[in-house]
Amino acid sequence: MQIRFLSGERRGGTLWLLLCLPLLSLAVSLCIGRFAISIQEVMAIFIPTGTDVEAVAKSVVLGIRLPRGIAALLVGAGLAVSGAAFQGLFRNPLVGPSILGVAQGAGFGAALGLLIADSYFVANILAFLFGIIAVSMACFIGLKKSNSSLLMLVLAGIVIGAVFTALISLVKYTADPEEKLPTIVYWLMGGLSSAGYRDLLFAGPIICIGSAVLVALRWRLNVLALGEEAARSFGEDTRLLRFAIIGAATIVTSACVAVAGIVGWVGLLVPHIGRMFLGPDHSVLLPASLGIGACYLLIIDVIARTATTAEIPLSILTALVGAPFFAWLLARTGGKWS
Amino acid sequence: MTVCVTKLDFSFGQQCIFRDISFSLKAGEILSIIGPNGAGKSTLLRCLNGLLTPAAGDIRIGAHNISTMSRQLLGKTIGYVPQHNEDTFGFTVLDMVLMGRAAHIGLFGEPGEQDREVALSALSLVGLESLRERNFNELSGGQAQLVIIARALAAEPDVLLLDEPTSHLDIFNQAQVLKVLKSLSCDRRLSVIMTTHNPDHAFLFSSKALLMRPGGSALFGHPDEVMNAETIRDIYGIHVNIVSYSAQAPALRTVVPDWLGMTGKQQISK
Repeated sequence: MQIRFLSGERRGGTLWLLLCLPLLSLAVSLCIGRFAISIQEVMAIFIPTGTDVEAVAKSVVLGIRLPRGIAALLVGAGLAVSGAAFQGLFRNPLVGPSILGVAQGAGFGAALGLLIADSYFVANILAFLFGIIAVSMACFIGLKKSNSSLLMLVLAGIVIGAVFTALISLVKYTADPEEKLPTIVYWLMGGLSSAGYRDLLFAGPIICIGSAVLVALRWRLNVLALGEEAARSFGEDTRLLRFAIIGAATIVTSACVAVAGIVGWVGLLVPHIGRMFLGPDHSVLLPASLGIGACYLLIIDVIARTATTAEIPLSILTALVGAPFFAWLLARTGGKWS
Repeated sequence: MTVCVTKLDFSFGQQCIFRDISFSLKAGEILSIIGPNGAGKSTLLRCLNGLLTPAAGDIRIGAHNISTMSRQLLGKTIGYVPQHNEDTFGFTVLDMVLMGRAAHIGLFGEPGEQDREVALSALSLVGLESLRERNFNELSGGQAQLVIIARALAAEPDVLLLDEPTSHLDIFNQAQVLKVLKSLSCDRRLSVIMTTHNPDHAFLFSSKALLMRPGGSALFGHPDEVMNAETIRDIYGIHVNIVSYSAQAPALRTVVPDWLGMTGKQQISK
């Protein structure tokens, strides 16, 4: 079937809406939770109107829900925009942001941090560093020859991903099964329950800068999506562009994993939703992915913290919601995205 | 702009693809490169726009040696129509043509109003302005080829390189492409270099022809001078007759291969 996307002015309007929607969702999400707080109370916390707000409500909103909500927005936006950039770069709508092994590397870093230091902050830092190390290794192997193809790079990414997956298992195997193992396992399933301002200060700037680079290069992704030879014939320095895009997407994804653990499906799914409504032009798709990804993960996170009395790990929900949606998408489009 | 190639050699590792190729082309001239599969036609084209680096020899475009030109300047000077054009995502025709503007657009920039105008006028040159909102992947082979030519023209190049622009096209669409190329060389003074499997196209409208033999050197000159039954048999290894017919002036020449190997020897020896 043929999906007709919006065109012209309606596209521009939709894009603005998508970029404003996350802030609106954030405001709403602050009211939702086991401790119910009305929208008036939430507003009163931010805009002093003279109305008295309970101290508990204030601390729940400012101390827990606000940093967690912002973290969900940042991680969702970061994963989605990296996914959209990688799909363009690799000319394949089926790749996600961790195709080069960044999630596995970051997961290993976090597991190692939890094992040796028992500190979330150390785990975050190590996750971020090992995400970058994993991708650097994949690039070193995959781009060693100057004429090597993107397929080489993808294969190198798969190899590196497998190595780090094995290393994660090794860490789990050596971890104390009473205490450390559950912590590691829960962390790897993804979640934002521990997200606080310190995480935001650490990961926020990285995610914002990396995403800004990707969004700034959005039109170049169109050119790269035509293939290496065509792009070079138009005068592009494809090597430099590739490094810039892989580098930016890697620091973004590493920072996201450091904050939220391994959250699958966002980077794969969100660009498809964007493409369905707004078409394949990356000039529009990248900013749109930011907005859709931010809202998507925020909604998932609200479900994760409110659906049951216990927290549901994020990766379970993103897959339970994402996979059926993706299957439906596949069935409707017959696997064709063009 | 003039294109001047002197003593060009190229090899992949130990394997020599071609050697000692020299030719020159003035602005407004069309060069047809013919030769069998594997003779290095596409490789030669890729050397001409700097996608590949020759082992030896010089390529000059206007006053510049292309080895001293930046990637971006090459992109502005030389339009390239590759043999295969895949579009994974289904861009619109206009988006596709706009990508040809890349060398004119800053790293963090997007196509502006002026780029849009250039792209639309490139589309109207190939007569497909009305298809601008269509999905590239839904076009017919002939339309797609013309869009790719428009994309190369959007860079406003002085030289146009085309890798087998007429293969996979029916005779009507081949004629469309050839007409567009002819008018570009006449009206816009573009130097056009194309590879082709159809020697007739060289006779039809080329100012120059380059005949390439696998692994060897090449013959260069006016099609009427260098293309005859002997040279074509020599490079393709098949007997041919060259027939000329003059329903209109000047007389058209066409190559008739001895498809089934039945009459060749007598004809050649005659």
